[in-house]
Amino acid sequence: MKGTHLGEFEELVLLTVGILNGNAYGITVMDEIASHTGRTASVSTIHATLHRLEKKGFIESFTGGASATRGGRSKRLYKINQAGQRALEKVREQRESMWKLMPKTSI
Amino acid sequence: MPVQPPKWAMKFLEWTCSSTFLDELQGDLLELFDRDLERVGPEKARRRFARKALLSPRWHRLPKFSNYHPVIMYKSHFKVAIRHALRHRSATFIQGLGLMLGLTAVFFIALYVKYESGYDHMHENRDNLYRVLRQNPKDGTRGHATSSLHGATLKEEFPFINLARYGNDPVKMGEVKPLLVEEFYWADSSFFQLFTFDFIAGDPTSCLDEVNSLVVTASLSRQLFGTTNSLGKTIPVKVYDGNQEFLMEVKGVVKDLPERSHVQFAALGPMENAEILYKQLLNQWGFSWLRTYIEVPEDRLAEVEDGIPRMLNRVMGDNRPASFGIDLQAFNDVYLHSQDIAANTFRGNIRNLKIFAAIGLLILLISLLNYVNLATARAVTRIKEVGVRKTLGALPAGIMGQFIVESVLFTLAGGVAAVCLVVSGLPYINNLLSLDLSTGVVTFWDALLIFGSLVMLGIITGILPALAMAKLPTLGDTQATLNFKPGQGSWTRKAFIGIQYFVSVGLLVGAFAVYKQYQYLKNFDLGFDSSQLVHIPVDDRDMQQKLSLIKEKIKGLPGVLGVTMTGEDLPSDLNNTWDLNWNGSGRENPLPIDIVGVDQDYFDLIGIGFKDGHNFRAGYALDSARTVVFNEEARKYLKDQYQQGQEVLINGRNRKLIGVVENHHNITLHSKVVPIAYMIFPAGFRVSADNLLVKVNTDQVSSQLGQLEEVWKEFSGDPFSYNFVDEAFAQAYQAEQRFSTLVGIFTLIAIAISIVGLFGLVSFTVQRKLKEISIRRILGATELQLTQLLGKDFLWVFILALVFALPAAWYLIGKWLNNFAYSIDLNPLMLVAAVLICLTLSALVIVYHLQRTTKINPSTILTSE
Repeated sequence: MKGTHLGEFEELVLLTVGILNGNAYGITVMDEIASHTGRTASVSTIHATLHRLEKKGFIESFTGGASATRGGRSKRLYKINQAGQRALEKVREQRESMWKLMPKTSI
Repeated sequence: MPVQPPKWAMKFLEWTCSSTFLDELQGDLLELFDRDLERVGPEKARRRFARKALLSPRWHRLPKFSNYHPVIMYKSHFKVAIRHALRHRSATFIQGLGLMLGLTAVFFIALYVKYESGYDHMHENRDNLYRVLRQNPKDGTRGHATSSLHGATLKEEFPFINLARYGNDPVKMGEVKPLLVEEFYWADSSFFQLFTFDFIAGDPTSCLDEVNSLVVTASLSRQLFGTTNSLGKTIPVKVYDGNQEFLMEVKGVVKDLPERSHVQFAALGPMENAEILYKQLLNQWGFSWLRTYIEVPEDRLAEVEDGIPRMLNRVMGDNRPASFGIDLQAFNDVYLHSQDIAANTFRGNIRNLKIFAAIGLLILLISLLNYVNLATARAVTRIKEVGVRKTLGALPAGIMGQFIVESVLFTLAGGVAAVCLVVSGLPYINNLLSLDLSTGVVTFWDALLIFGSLVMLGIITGILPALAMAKLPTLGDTQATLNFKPGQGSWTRKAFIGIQYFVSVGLLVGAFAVYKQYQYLKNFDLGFDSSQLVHIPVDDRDMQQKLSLIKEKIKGLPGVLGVTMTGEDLPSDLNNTWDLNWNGSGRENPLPIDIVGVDQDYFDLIGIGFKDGHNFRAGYALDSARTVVFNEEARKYLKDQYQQGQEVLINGRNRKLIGVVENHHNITLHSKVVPIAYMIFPAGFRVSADNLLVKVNTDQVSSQLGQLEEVWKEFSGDPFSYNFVDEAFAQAYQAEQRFSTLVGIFTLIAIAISIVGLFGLVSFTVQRKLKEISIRRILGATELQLTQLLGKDFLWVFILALVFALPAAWYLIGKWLNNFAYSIDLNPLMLVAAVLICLTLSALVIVYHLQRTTKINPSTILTSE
């Protein structure tokens, strides 16, 4: 399958979407990443990454409710799907198996 | 009302984000905006919102043009455009020819304007430099020649200014075979602080500090020493105008000077040497031999300008003549704004430049209108093609895109052709007009600008035909197709033709007037006989002592009809203006009078007669030293107080006024005849005779010139130089000639464009009315009637254009002629001639097309479908 590789930032965003469990949209993702890693990314960058993840089939989007604070505009909420879950687990397994090979003495 | 984010930023989001993603983006940004409002206040929040909006565009959410694939469609547009152009070769040629001619003219004018307005840019301090001019406060006349005191006094009064003066003094350099260097100047050591020139060797700041130092240009250095590496070499320098010789050492070598600097020299020597040479003269305000420039810090300019009258009063006090003043001219204005300054030699002329720029814009305008007109008319041939495209699903935007792409392609092709024409034709034009334009002044950015403008022009000119085609009905809608007549009878087409006629007629009248004025100046009756007069300048002081001797020798030559000595050549600069008083006029109020040193043969030789009194008497040297002859203009000073034989005071010395001669133009016709006093002076004064005028027999001019040269060689080792007075006068109007030729060329181009345009339009009209014409012919219409039928539309437009063009031309040309001291009267015949020429050409075009159709049997046309 073409283009299902997970980039570093994509992995981070995908993870965050998973954590937020149905309440993920541009701003919550941005805030969550900032609070966990200290990385500040612009909301447009987050949008672009979310769009990419959706195209790769790792997340699904649905229209959320509008609210007054958004000038009456609806949210686009994102939810991780099975493929996304699997991709994350695969990355994690890869990392852990590699960590096991790391000699204890290396600094 | 709560604080809102900037409206334009919201708009920007709508522009750059497709509707699918707009809610998400705007909503998120608004939420952040609300958060920012609480945290950092409205000001900062709005700014942050704007920044986020500006940085928001992402590829995936840019709005897409639906149903339109740019790359593929452009490829198709190119192909169709080229096929269509080739299929209708003659129409393409006509359309392209007009455009190319127009662009060529515009490119050439742009090059000319760019070249002329780019003078002196190499001088880094140019914005703070000023040229010091002599100015007569009474009549505002100005001159660029200044005395040593001008600069010295300014520097003393305003110590913060930088001063550089330089004065011409032809010298001979070298020992064995001395080289005459005309462009030698004595210059202040600060010369290279004010003016920027590139040095090959030597130090710009100190190269003129010591006495006997020398700065040469690279090419002079090669001539003198065979190398540009001449630093430290010495060479004897003999001042041509005197008997002094210096052994000078090369302290600096500069690269050959850029053409477009109005400050020019071949070699410079330090002012200290000039002080040795001309000690006594340097303390006189009247000894004007220098060009003076000052550098003034920007914030202190007003101080200097306001302080100059005070300075003059302090220095000169009551002795200051009423006609004495100082004016400052900005360095950047020197080249283009100096036509009013006495003895100005710069070609630059801001007025002519503006006229050319205007003509260039007019030509561009008509060639574009022409192009649009033809393109719209040609669209008729595309009805079927566009209909098919529409049937296959092309949207109006796509059709418009196609025609605009075609138009851009066309203008680009025209532009390339025009550039080729300009580049290849430039040497001929330079030759024809004695110009030295070069394409070297065009920078990369200019080229980019031209490219950009061509694309823009293509888009603009493409819009009208594109709109017409976009409105075209779909093929199959027969009724609508029949009713569709693009451009026919539309007011835009008529307005376009009207503007072309307006410009053509106006320019034609202008070209006539300019040419007439030039001819008028050239053939003006100067009031004296300038034919067969040879002028020989005698610059060597030594030779001036022996001038009477030389005169007698020449007089004896066969074929020489007469010789005279004079202090002024013809045409003259008249640079000795003295004061005139007489009994009836107050001593404190002298009138300016120009002095010409002559001998008693002068008036006879150049053929001017006496209105009153008599000539100087031959042989009475003492008597001649106390007498004076006026011209009529000078007699007008005296009015009814004039008496033959009365005493007048000239520069404080009594002279007896023995005669009055007819006015004649010893200066060029750019200025009126001025009051002149003719006097005889012995050798050795500034006003003494230093020219010979020889009247020769025209039959044997070359042998006589040979004999003159032989006599010259007996007295001098310098090369023999001469010129013919009538040629010198004609040459003085070179600028007018060049202007006349240029205006003529551009007028021809404008008319050619208009006629080519008319040609194309008539050919389309004829094609469309082919059946109507044929039926009329069968019913017996004569050719004249058919011409009327076709010409009717154009005639009304033509008349309307005349109503505007003629008064405008009349007014503008009258204004232009006002700039001349002597000018022609505007002749209504010029207007008639211009109108007739345009009318005839238009009629010819119509008749030509009719001839072509009438050759075909009407039945052939009517039976074909």
